[in-house]
Amino acid sequence: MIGITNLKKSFDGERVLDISDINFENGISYIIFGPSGCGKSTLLNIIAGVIPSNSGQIIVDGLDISGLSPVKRDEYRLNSVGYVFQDFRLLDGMTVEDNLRLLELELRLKLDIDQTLDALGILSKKKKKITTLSVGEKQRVAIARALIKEPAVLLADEPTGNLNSKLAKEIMSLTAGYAKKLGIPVIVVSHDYGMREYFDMSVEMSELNGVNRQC
Amino acid sequence: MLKFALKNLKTKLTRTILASIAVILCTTIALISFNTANQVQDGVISTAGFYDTIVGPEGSPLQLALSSMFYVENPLGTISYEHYENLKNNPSVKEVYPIASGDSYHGARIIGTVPEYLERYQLKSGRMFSEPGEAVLGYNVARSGVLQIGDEFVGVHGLAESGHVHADFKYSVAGGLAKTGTAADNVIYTPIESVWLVHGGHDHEGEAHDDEHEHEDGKITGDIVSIIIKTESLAAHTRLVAEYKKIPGIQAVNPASVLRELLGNLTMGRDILYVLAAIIVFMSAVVIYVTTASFVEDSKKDILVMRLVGIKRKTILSLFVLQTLFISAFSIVISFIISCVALFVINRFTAQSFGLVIDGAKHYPGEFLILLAVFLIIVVSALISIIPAYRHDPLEEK
Repeated sequence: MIGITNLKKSFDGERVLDISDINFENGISYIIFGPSGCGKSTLLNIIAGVIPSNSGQIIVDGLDISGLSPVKRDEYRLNSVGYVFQDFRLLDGMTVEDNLRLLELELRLKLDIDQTLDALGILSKKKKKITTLSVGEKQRVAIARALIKEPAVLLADEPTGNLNSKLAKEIMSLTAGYAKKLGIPVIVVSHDYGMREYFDMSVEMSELNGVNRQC
Repeated sequence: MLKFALKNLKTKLTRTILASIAVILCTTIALISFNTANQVQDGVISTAGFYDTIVGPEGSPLQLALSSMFYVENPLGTISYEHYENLKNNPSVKEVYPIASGDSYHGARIIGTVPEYLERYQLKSGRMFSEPGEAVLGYNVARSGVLQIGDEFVGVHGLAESGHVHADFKYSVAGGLAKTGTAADNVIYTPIESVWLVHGGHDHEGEAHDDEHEHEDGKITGDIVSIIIKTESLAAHTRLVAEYKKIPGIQAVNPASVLRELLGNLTMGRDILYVLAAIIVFMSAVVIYVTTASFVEDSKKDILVMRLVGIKRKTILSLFVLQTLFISAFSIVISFIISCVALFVINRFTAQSFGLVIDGAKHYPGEFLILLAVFLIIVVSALISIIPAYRHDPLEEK
């Protein structure tokens, strides 16, 4: 579960995020809508421990991450967060398997690689280089990498931005389904309102973020 | 982590190979320069230092020393064998050996002398020659496989294989010497009488060798090219030199002092090589710095991916250091192997051209210091280029 209260974030003195209170429950999938520049990605990055907040409290799975040192945030991100990016963020020169084994560097490979890839329908691509995969396959690898560490929260930032409509729906449905399957909160940000049907709850960033912006 | 580091290197294979080649080239040149400079110096000292006097015809003292001890350069001419017999009876002379030459077999000079001259060397196979016509092979000649014990062969006049063939006189191989690490490894020894017999029946105009032999009461005699001597003392040596100064057409020289000039040049050459080696090692450091820096620059996207996933900065630093260590260790091992092979190749040239034996298996502690220096310099250069990337967290840009 994720609990956020009085979260504030500024860049170069400009306030971009001001969230008074929101909870994300275990086993529930959330989709946060809003156009670009509304702070959706910033919110995900703060929840993921990629960047710190300026103030406020963020409790993830019982841990207050708002005051963590950079090293502790690394540990938190490694241990608790599964993060799927729009541009995949994979090691392109390496194979699918290598991208998952990357986590072995920190002894954080919890699930079986074959089973995880098989569940995502890309087991046959295990030894393939990332550069040889289609965009849909790359996104599945990114999801596999997020899931294989058994995260406490699954986040996805515009995961279907590069996919065609059919594939986008497939990926969204798959991602949202992990909330029930794993009993964790799944938070996806998107500007595509057509994806609402795959999620338990939808949130409008303009309602969530108190900063008066053009959202 | 090593497995992952190797895979990461594989993704940048061209760069990895180029970096390795640069280090291997630099290190190999430094190793070969250092080793050959030392072996040449050692070879000259060990060969020239054993005997204190050479008696031979008048002419260049250096040519006399080089032709008598290193078997390079043509002999200055011939002197009478009588000088040797006189010196044998000289009480101030501890050891004295005659040297005769003129022919070769497959580029190896055939040296006529007495069996006692070879007593300080060990036999590796067969036995010492005892009769005219028998021959004992130097270590490198035996190892080349051109002759085996029991083989018969004929000499060619001079060093060129196209020279006049002395087909009427056959040598037979009686034995082979163990490795000496000196010019003795590159020649064929035979009783001095063999040389006289070979050159008894004809004349090679204008070429210096001991070609006049006589048969007096059944005893074969002839001329020799030089006499190698170890005197009882320095005073005895000085007396001997003075005595021979009085005899026209002959000279006695001290090989060590004659070779001093040569050694001086070699020492200067060695110092230049040391400086060259240091420059090369420094260059390898620059190459590694540039390569690692561009490697890190190229890997910025990968570093960001790793950081986003939660891989610690310390782990990423270790990964790059490990990659550098692997390139260093690999390059250093290959450099050492190549330098050993190169020394064997260089030996073929120096052995034939200078009579100096370069042993590919002989190494100096300094070489291992060079390897250690290269290793440390590479690691430090790599760290200098990695640490800024380590300090600058890509997540801070987000």
